[in-house]
Amino acid sequence: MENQNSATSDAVLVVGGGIAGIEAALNLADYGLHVYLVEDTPSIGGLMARLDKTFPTNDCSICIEAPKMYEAQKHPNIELLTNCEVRRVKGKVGDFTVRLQKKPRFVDEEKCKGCGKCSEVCPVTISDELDGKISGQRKLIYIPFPQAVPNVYLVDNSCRYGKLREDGACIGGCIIDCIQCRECPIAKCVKACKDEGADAVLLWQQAKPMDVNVKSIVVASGVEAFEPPIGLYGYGKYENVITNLQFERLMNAGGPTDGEIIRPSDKKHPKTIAWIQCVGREARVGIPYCSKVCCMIATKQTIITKEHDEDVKTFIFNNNLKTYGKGFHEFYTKAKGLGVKYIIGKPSDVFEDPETKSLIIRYEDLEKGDVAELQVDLLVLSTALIPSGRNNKLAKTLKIELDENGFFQEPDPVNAPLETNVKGIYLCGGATGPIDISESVAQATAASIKAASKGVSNGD
Amino acid sequence: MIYKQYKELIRRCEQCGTCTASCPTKEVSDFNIRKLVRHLQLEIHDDPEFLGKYPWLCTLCFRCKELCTEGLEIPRLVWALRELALEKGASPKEVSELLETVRSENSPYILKGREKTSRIKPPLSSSDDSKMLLFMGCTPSIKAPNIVSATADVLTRHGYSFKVLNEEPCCGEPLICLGLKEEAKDIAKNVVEAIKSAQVEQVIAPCSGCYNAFTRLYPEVLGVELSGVEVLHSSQFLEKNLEGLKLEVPMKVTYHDPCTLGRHAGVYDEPRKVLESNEGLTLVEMDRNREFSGCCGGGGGLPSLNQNMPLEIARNKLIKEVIPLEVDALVTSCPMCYLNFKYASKKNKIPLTIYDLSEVVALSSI
Repeated sequence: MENQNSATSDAVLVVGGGIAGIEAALNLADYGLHVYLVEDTPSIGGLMARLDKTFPTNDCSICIEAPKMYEAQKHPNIELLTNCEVRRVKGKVGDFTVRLQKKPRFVDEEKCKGCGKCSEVCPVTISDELDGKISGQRKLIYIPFPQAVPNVYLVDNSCRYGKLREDGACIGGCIIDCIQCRECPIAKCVKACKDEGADAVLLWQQAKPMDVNVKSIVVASGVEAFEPPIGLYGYGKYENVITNLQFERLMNAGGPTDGEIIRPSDKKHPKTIAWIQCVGREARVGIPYCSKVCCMIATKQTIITKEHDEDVKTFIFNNNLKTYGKGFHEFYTKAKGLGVKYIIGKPSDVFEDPETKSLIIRYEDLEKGDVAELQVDLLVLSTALIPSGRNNKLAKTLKIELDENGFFQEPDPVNAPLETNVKGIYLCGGATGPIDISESVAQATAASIKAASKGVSNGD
Repeated sequence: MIYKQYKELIRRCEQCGTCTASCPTKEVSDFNIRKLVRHLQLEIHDDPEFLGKYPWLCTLCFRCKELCTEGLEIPRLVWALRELALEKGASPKEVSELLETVRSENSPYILKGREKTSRIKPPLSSSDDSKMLLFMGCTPSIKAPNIVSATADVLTRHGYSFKVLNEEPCCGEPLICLGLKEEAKDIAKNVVEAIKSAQVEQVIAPCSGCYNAFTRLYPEVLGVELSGVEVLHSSQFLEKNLEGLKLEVPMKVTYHDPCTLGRHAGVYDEPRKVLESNEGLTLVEMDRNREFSGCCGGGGGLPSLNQNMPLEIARNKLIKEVIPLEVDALVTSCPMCYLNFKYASKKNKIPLTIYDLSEVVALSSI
């Protein structure tokens, strides 16, 4: 076990490597503190790295974030720990001892050059976690997205244990476990990497615990996009009903369709697209809060759609349009000027035309008081932002409280925002609730100054 | 009164129209449930013409409630408006007629001196020392005796004896639906007494209306407890106790979720499990099923007030959702849905077999 005592009293732990975590880490590092930036997925970047554009400026999302990601990786004061979990926390403000666990990537981070030869030779293609519904695929040895930081490949765990043998995986079904064997004469990725002179694929790699000592902790665990239940507005039943995150991936040049807005059923460009807002707030689903960013996301998506092809007809079913931030109302009026139709009301049912796979949306025309139907080629569900799935475990590990919706609780949001019930542990970004990118960055800046200055045990 | 009791519910309504768009009656009339809430928001709901018409067009299917972003149980307002209309003497004449029928006939149907069980063939053999009561229900025994026969047949063939009540009373569910709470309460008390005096441990109801009344409406709406007995809908009993069923002739069916059993009582899985336990049976689902299932049109007392609307709603569902599935039969587990679909298919010459769940089980061998 490694024991890192290098910067004992002047180190800070940042949990979560999305835009908020990266921003907090960069600030703290610039203050001269040693930062452990811990991310439990294989790359930093978070949700922002997978978006196409940011609102209301329509800047390219990854173009803004990637420089920060590289800066975080290169900063001498930041220790970047990806594929790494927080397991246990002891101590108090000024002196927390944190047990981290680095999960195996089965690829040596030092040796991997990111050439991708391993992935080229991998015989198995599976559905991608994020882009699967819109035909995104990946190999069993893969990189999460092209701009991933670190630019290091990893092996799908299910490959090693032979679970994908039937699907054509080259390894698995061995008598001896990889851990005992410690070499692999079968795996194509191992050979390809050796041929490239790197020898980085280590199928026998194991989880590695490490302890770090920090004076304070910033929690930036982020948000997740809600996955609608099967059957709600035809989701999961009709191919051409997708979520707003999936639509974002369709728009994205780095996405599975190279930025072509095409519908899943026939890969054709849809000529009419509708968005339904507030999906997840139905009593059947029960999300009680407003996610606040979805109205602007839909507005942005219609504007980008119009930029791709101004003849595409776009409709947004909404009931309480939120244009709460600076420049948001102007963004909304811009969309209206481009011909985006905002229909007041919430539809009840969606039917599919079995021939064309187009969708018939049933709603009440509130001006007439009659039920009306709108036929579209593609339907986008603007789904809620929900707490990160890691929050429950993190709350227990860090002994900080969650609110009734599963976001972290700020006991005094007015006078002491971003603080928790544990002194020395601070919050920023989606950990606090649904939030947009610029607010996340602002919060990260605020949380980092608290973590730097207040994180001492002898008073504030 | 109504405004006070439901003030928060009413004020919170966002008037988004999802309820209206999801409403089965809206498809066949000018009933607009959102506007009904709007009337309450504006406090203009006292108009006798309004009270005499619109609150009575709801089937109490509760589909709108599933989709409401504020989580409002809008049909509760319908219920309250029905009570208000009764209070103000603005209710349709059919409501008081039905009450008279229930009082005189002990059932919502006019029997003209016949026995309630006279159409059940063969006559049921009640076993006096059985600990299980088959509460037949008015609609099954009078209007769909085949459902009672099939249920009795299945029970007997699987070795279960049961007893039936002498002069089984109406459970009162139709009156509760129509807002006649006090009247229903008297009836409910009698029913509870009758069941208690039968000294059974289990009550099996082939009617989802009776089942919903015993398990939910009695305690929640009327404050009457039917305690000391386990009440099961027949689908629940079958799911618990039968296995290894086999159909002689393979059959492809779809299942219609009755509102009273599904959205009201949360019973979605048991009927499906019973169907799927039949070797030779293929169950295909309609696009809208379970919580999102469309109403047949026969609930909430609507058939007592308007004969055509329920049939039109049922026809719409058959044509739009059932026929495209190309199934041999539509199965349901509520006598109202069963009859309503049956009448609608007959009237519109739709060649489709309608089965109650018990009939499918009766068709199969062990």
